[in-house]
Amino acid sequence: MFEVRELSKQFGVTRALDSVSLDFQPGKVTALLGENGAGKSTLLGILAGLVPPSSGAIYRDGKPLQLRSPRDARNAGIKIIPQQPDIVEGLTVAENIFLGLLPTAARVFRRQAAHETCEDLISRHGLERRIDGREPAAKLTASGRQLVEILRAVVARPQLVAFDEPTSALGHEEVEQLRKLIGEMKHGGAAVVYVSHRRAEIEDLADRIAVLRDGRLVGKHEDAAGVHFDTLITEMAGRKIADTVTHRSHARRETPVLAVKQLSTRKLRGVSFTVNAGEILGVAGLGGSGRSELARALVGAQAVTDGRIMVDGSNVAGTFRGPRQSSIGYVPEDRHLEGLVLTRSVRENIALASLADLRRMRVVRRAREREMVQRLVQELNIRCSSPDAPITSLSGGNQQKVVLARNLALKPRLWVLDEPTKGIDIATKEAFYQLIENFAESGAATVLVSSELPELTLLCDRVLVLRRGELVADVPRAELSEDRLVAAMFGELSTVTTVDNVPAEASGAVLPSSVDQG
Amino acid sequence: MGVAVQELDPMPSGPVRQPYAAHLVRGGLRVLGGTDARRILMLLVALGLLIGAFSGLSNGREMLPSNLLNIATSASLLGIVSIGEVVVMIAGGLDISVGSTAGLVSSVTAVVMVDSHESVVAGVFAGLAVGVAAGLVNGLMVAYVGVNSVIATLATYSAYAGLALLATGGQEIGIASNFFNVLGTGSGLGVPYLVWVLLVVCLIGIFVMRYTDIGRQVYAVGGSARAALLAGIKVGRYTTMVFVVSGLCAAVAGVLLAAQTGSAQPTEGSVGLELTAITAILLGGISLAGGSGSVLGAILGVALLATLDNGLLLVGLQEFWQQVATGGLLVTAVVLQNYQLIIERVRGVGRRFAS
Repeated sequence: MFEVRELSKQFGVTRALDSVSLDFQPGKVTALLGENGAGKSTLLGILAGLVPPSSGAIYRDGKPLQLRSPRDARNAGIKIIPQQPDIVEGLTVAENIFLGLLPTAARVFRRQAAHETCEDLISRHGLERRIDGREPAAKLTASGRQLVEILRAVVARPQLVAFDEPTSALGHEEVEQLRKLIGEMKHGGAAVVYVSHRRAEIEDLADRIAVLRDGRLVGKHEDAAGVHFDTLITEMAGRKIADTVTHRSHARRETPVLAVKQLSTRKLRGVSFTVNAGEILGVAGLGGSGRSELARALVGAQAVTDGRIMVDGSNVAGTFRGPRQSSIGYVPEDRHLEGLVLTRSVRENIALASLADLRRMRVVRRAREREMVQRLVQELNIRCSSPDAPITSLSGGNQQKVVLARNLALKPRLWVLDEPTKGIDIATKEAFYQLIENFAESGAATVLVSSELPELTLLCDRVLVLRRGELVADVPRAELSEDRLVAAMFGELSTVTTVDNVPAEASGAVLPSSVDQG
Repeated sequence: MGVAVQELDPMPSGPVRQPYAAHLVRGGLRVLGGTDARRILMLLVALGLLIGAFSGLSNGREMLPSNLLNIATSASLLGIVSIGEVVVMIAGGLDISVGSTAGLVSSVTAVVMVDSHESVVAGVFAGLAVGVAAGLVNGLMVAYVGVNSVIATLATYSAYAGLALLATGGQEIGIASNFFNVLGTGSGLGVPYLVWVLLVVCLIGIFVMRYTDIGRQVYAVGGSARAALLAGIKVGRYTTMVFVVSGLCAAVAGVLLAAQTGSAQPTEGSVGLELTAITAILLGGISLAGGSGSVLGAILGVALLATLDNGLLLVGLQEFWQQVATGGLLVTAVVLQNYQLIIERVRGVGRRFAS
């Protein structure tokens, strides 16, 4: 049995972990819950041998373990599957899976043996259609990369295996395989640690639940089934959260802000819809359905092969004019890659798109800038030590708020939000939902692309469903349910009547529906 | 960083009120270099230590104003080139061609001046125009053709050096204009014109990069070109611009080189200038990854390098040792600047022996 005793970790003035004692029992799945910055990643980092603890120790069967490197952790039978897969792109998928454990004969790599073992492994877990051992790893999709990380854990046969939000990049089918795999590991006697923000997964997988908040262990439930989820949320947030966000429709039916007509891109085919002022339009779809491409096309960051995108009456298809000129606030899916300038401060990141309003003779007016930034920091409740703090010192949710703040400064007429709450803790998510509601109330039109169905059903006046680049459903609020969306997303697995090409009248739309049949 | 009282909530919402003393310290640091203040402070301390050490070794000769002025004069061309180079590096690129550009410009200036019957205006104008054109070629290749900046400028590094030799036809070309030569050798108010030019370029650089939206946008492009683009910044235009700035700075250095020597200098004084400039900038704590660093840091890096060279000369060490010392200084600086990371690593090792 593995356990940590009085484990603490100090980063500068921040106590990331504060005297945490926790055991990980073999044959059980311990779910690790907590908001971003609660200390989950630090705990996993220590177990992985990547982060040296400031005090406290890790024990296996009562004996202390020294984990000074990932190699030590592996030798101790610990395997951590990180959120961001580490893939060596120059190697094949099989070589990646066996990395560090490559089959050799007299130190010569046995390529054939590796590939055969790998094929076995892949087919045993029913992943033949997903990854191929002989393919170069560079060709892997995000979900493929995650699968490689998971298969590495299978190969290593660890006694303690931790998954850090493993499903954020996986599709439904793959999540199912992962569940089976975790079941097998469990029955093989491994202790499993599972970090996730998704309620369904936790309820489904966890045998026991541990909750971290501000580096401290605030809850430990040996019987996961006996705990109400609200209890866990309260523990995570440190206060009681009711469903604070209620959706009120502010849609003004006669004032379309965005009208998309027969839009086609590399992935999308003939998509048409309109969004009115004050309306929140959801976009659902599986990975690869074109939902992110639609978001990019709307802001002009994606080549358009055909069709029109009318914003306030003028066609903007295929032209990128930036948030200030176009009055479109865009929150991209990957905030690290596309949303933030990671080398700069909170202040500079917020002011980035408004510099033209803040300068006089090309000199940035500091006082005015400071005033604007302070106002937005307060308005969005961005938690930072100072506006001049490096953006990297903020938690994921607060970083995302900075991306919002930059756009909010321009008071956009249209918001295009692509997975705005991805990897954000539950309390911050609620704050985001309230903000999105506020945008609608102030009369902005919103397009919300999301893979989180509860988010769509909570917030949206209408949800469009994309499947393989085509618009297959336009579900009005009255009919909105997760089942309905899932059915439309999968199409062939549909358990309800087909929702393909629902005519506007038949869908009983409260708002003028816009699935263009022409 | 002031000593913060450990609070229950380490990340309170909104800005924190600070004690007045901490506020003053912070204000002082901001004047020095904003978020870069700690690094600038370290560089100043290092420079002070270096000057102090050489003063001790040379019986105070190092500290003489005349010697400090010597250092500044000898480093002026390098300094001017480095300011252009650091702007490119902040934007996330690298310009290998600056040395060749300086050589080309010095040759063109001399040739045009001789052909135009010693017209200083024509010579200087032609030289600067060639520098801008050289930078523009680099910039357009990087920004719009999509060539990696190291590869693009490595290509022009070679091409411009060749053009410089073509311009002079391999002949010695002397400039007779006294007025022009005074620019490179004379001084005003006791300070050589070379140093005045460096000072002006330096102040313009600091001002633009720190106080204007142009600087802000250059930093953003270097930090994340994709995020900058989505925020509405014209990334291609700024990328082109930084190379033009670099070309222009190299051209100013090239013109001064011609003035200093009174002749066309296709190679002498400019070959290898790019690597020395990059070394100095790295000494100044600017990262190759872009999006961070400062013009002031780069200038302090140049000062460190120049002081080292001068000091070793005064102490009477063999010239070859200078190169070894430069390498040593760079390694030391990089290690010191990443000391936090290294301490973390050493602590990890320390625990091994502790238990």
